Amino acid sequence: MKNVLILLFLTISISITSCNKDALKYDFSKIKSPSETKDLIAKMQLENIDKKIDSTSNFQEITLKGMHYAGVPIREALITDNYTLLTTDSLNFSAKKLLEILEVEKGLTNPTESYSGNINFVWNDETENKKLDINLVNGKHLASFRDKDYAELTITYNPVYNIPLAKIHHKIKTFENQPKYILNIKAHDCVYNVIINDIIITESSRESKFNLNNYITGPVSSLKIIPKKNKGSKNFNENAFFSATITNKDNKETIKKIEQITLKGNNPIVLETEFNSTLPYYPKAWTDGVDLRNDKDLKAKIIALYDKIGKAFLAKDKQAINETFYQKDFEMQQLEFDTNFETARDEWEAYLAVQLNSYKYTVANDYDIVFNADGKLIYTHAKDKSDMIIFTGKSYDKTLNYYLYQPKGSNELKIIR
Amino acid sequence: MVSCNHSQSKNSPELNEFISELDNKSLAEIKEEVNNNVNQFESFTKFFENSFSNEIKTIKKKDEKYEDEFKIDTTGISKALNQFNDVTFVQTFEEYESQLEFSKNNDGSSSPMKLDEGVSQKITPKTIFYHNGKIRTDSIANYEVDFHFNEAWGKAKPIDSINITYKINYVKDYDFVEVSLDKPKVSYKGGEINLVKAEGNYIYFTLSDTIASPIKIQGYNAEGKVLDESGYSNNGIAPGKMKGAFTEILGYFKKLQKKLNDDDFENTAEFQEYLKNNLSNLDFFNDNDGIFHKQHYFYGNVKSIKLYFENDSESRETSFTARNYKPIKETDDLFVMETEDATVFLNNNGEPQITIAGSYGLENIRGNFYEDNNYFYYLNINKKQLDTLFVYDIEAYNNGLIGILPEQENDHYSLFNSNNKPIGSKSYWFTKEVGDILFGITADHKFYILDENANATLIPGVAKVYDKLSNDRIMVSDINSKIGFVNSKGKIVIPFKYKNAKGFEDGITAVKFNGTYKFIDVNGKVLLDTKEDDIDFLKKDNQGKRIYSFDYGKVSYNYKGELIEK
Repeated sequence: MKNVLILLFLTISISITSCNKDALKYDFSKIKSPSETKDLIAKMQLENIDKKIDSTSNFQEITLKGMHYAGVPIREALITDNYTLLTTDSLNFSAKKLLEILEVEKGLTNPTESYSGNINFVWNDETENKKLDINLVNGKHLASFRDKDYAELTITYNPVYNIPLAKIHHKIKTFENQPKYILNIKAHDCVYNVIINDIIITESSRESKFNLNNYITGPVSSLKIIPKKNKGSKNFNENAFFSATITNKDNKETIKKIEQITLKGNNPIVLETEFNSTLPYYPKAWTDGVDLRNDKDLKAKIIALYDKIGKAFLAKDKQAINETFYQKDFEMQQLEFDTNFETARDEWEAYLAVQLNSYKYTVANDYDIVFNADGKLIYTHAKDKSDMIIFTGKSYDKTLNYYLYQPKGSNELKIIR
Repeated sequence: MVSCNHSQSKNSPELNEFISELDNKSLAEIKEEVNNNVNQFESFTKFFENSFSNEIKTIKKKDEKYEDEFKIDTTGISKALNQFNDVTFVQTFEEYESQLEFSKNNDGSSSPMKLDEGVSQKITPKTIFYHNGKIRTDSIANYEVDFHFNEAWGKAKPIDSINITYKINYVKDYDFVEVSLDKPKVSYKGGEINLVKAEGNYIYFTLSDTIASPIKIQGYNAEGKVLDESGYSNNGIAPGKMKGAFTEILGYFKKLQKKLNDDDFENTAEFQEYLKNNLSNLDFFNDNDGIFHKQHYFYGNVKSIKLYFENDSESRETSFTARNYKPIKETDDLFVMETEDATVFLNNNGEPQITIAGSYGLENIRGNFYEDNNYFYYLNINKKQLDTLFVYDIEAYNNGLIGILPEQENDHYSLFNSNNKPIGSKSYWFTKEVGDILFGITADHKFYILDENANATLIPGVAKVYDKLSNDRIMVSDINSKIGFVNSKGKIVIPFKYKNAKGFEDGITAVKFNGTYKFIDVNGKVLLDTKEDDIDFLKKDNQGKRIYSFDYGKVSYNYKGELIEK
């Protein structure tokens, strides 16, 4: 009798313990990719044959005992090819616990209110996006968290790109001082050319703001601005004036000021100055470039480069595209001291879009060449086409045009800005 | 499988129809349906446990909802008869069959008008005009003219147009019978109408099944106001007996289900025989009491009801022609048809001429130009192949020309003929079609009319072309916004002089110059000065003809420019 009782007691406690083990069997917090999600579903399918879970389906709703996120019970999981949506139960402060767990896992982030009055927390990083939607049943404030409040966690995974062009942020160095030189123009009734370090960055413009870092290669830079009268006018109009400042956006310091001058007459005015363009990083850029002004083969080289770009995109040749654009994209992102993962990923996805949508490219035949930086840096303006290279797809078009240079020791042009 | 609201007539013809509908089904399909239906039926009988009698309630005065008293309104009849004066159809081909979907284009509503009580309509195709010249009138009456879905219309052969008759039958005269608690029993046409119960918002009455169905039943409250109806149920079986009837049916279906799952039947025919022999024994199918039971619920406490019966009806008929949405230009155009693994191009007789392996999901742009989701194509008839066209966009114009943007949205249009050969001496920044007339606009803002050979006729002075072509006149305006009219050859037949104008219709229009609106003919001759300076939005009368009204309806003229007396 005693043995029977002990046996009974043991059986009961075993079933209770295994019941508790069941309670935390399928942990969604360990999943880091869509394939790991599929593995988890397969595991759930195997261990719960009567539930008819189909690990091959691309849309399923699973309510299984034992689903959890780092210990917070999940009442229902909706898993599709594009996202996973986990809903907690409405007991025991599950919503509050899940929020705390995610804050430890992903860091603190500011809440926002959704249209339905729920409170959202969003964490986006390079590999996954997690959005926590908290349904406060009893009130609108996080302070009134009750046990009945529940949460929905939506997890989406970002595509993995192994190409260096998409992962530039891993290589970006940061520094204590990260100056960002901005040219601010305040002018009226005129247009102007802006030339920095002997590079024409704009002609006949009315824009008021220019980022200068991309054209800086050393501690001192030259700036030339040429205000001109409006097209079609005989002279500068009565109230035309020009003024400009160069500021460091990082510390709001004014680096250089061009005092306001009244513009008179009909000839362009030339304003020249130098400014301190100290940076903790100077790019190689076109500094070792060859003077192209006497290059007889220059036209052919320009066409050859754009042809190469066109072919690379049509062939979806990711390595070739990476090699073509890496130096430009890296130097420009480093000059911005930009460590945000989205910058390079967005740029890469833009290149992917051209690859995906284009079935033809056209290179301009007739164009003007502008020589900058003592002939080392060129820019071309297409005349027979709207731009240097046009990609065409079905109801899709995209044009590209870049600053080019020829590195020392090479016979081919390279994209640099 | 069995409808709950069945008619009063004897049930054997219905039973037979129901049984014969199984002709094309396999036993496996029938098995699956019966299994599904038993489940649904079971939940349905649970519904009957809480039968309608639970919904009887007293409605507060302030919650009452009313509706208008029934009356015959025949003004809609004219409108309905005129609604089909611009009907097109899209014809597609699949597995050697034609599919047609119709569309109404004249008044912003894509479906046929909703008709009032007592009005029924029938749309019958009478003649099909095939593109190969053949005309067909036999065995087409059952082809469905559907405005929402593709319907099968016989073998794959291109159709130019279809003559269709539209018949409306409406109640011209009616009787009505009133039944109330004061007068619960009324005789009508040899039968009886009996008010059995009136409680709160609920009324239950019976009709001898020799009386034809009323066209409308309306309930009245104590004050004689017509109450809005919230629900009703009609049956051959008295309420209260419904549950019993359903339980009987459910039991029967369960028996059927077991026999099917046990594979008691060899084939569908055996199953149908069994049904015929057994179903007719069910009480449900033997409606013996000769009475139709009607229960109605209202948004108010109902005291009496009026039943309206048709006394006399009238039919009116009209014909219209539906045209192929893509008019077929060349007699030797081929038509694309998808089969499971190939794309087949048929001639006018529905005979395959070119077969290309692979399913493209091709859509015809016009003539031999096609597109799918990813590419544009030209069907090269000589080489019997599809040439891929790597261009930004292709536009097909009604006059047979094709406009191509070669690389970008901002390109100028290059014109091509139907054989994909470049044509014409100019390229155009913009193109605009008005009806079948094609305008090309060059980068220097000059307007040209282009004929089918891309010969360009300059229309000097035009800065804007308006959207409508009628009576061979298109409204245009110059750089000063003064309005004139050109004809389809590009000749300015009425110079730019009007401050405001409407397009022509039925040979006249209203234009404003020198301060007032005047009617002019297509040559610009003034027919009448209305002396009005403000025109209202154009309206149409019941015959679809224009009404010109001025000064917020104070003065109106008909489509001929004649004053309408108030």
